Amino acid sequence: MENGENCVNHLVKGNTSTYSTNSYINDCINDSSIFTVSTVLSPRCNLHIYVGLSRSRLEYSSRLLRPFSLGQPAFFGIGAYFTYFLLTWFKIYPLFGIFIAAIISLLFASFIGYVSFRFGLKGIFFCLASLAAPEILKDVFAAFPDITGGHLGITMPLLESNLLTLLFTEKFPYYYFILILFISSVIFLQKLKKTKYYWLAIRENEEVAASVGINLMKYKMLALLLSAFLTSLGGSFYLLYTGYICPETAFGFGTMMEIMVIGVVGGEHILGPLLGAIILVPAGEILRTTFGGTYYGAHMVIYGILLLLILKFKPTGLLGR
Amino acid sequence: MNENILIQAIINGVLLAGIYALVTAGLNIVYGVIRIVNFCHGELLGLSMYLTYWFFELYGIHPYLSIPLVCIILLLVGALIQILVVEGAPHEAQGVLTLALYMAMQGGMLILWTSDYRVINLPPISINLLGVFISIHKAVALIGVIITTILFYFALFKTRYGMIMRAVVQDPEAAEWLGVNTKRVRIVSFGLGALLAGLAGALLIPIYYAYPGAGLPFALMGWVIMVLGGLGNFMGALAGSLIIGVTESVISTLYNAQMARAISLMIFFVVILIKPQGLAGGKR
Repeated sequence: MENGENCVNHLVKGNTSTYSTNSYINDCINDSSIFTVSTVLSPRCNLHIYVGLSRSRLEYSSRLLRPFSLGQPAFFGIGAYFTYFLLTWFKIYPLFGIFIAAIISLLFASFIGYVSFRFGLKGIFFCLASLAAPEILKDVFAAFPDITGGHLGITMPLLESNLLTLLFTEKFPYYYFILILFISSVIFLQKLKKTKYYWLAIRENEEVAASVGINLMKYKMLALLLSAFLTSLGGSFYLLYTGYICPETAFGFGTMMEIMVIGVVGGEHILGPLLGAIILVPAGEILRTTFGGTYYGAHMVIYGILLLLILKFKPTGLLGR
Repeated sequence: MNENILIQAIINGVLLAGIYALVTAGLNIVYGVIRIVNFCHGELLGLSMYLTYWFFELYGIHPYLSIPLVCIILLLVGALIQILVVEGAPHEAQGVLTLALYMAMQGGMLILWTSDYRVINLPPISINLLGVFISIHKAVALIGVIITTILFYFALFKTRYGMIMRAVVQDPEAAEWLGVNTKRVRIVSFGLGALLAGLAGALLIPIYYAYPGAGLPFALMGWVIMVLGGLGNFMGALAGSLIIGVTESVISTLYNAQMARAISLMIFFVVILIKPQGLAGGKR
């Protein structure tokens, strides 16, 4: 984990010369950490959910389709919204609430995972079916403004800042909070070394993996649940940090894209998402502050072209093989 | 409940289904030949809406007259995307490349046309059909969709080039052995996909408004319908868009627009659980 911290430090130093405002850099770091946590799972996700369409005998098509779970925003949003609900309805402090919200995400994920894996949805079918889950949630959350605040979203109530509420007046506690979350999840995922090979086998060829005795259902579910848990924590943190969430940020296409692109650019490595987030999120922010005022939209063009170039020249991701 | 309102909702639903069918047909061509989910499809639709708007505002060309022009431009844009961006990249990266393109295109539209909603103001004419009022623009869009679908069907199943494309869909390697220039087929099919998105956009602009994200809801539904109908299946996609479009329109008329989308997506979920290969999906 030294590595990650160094990266962050380096980033701070690298930026101070151009941007003297410290708070701005903190913004970048916090933002990148959020997405780091929520995408920590994505190399794992790579490892298992990207199932190849194994039908074809032709060599090039064996790795033809490696769909991602496009349903990640569902867990992101559930994490954020339920942290708020638990706080306002049941007076459960966010310190515990984020974990209860993560468990609710787990329940939702196990429902989605069970039905889709049970009925044999795989490859691109699973990928696009999972895309429908956050869309459904987005519309449902927008349809009941009395409960969920509708399209306007919800704002965190003002509470005293301490460790129980996880609301702080300054930015650095958030930084350490997300850093601890990130390090612990990396350590936890690192413990799953053996499972990693099961996941790899499932990704490369499901039928063969099953034929050598790998429990497909178990390991696919495990990966989906892990990803849901971490993404949900990321969502809760996003709510606590920004103090605001609306259906579009929680379940929108943009969130899905951010989570997916960071994972892909980073590559299939445990620190891949960290590297992806550290490059892309500050790049996006710097471009937005530079061009946002005069040429609104230019930042997206440059960001998109940057992404295109990275993917074109290093398609396996920066840390990939 | 006035039954005329219900009939009107169903007619609107059929129109919506037609637009979805065009979008899905474009996605299906790209998926069938290149085997990627085209994530910038919605942006192509949005681009054609803006182009039609521009032709109307700057040169005073009526939206219906500029349809061929817009279609040709979109065909070229699609072919260019395939040549410059997708072609040559390793397959795993191609889907994500279109996602990056989605970002760049959305940014480009923000610069060129800002985030304001743009509408073409055409005189609203309605025709009275046995007590049901239909806007003439919706009727034109519906007829346009039906004609395109039939033409498209014939192009794909009755012409020689359609046969070549279907051969590439079935087995690209074997098609190449038989002397098909698969690279050109891929370029043509991305262009055709973009053309269909462009046609949908050009038919939409008189009844809908353009903004940089305008295409996304349609593309989202297109991806969903693509799976619902069975990937790459032409007839399945038609049936799927009818189900989704009519459900969405009827429920949003009777109840609430947000829940309409949610419920039609839930129907998708139920169908896909019963038939994981999609409505028309056999073993493929």
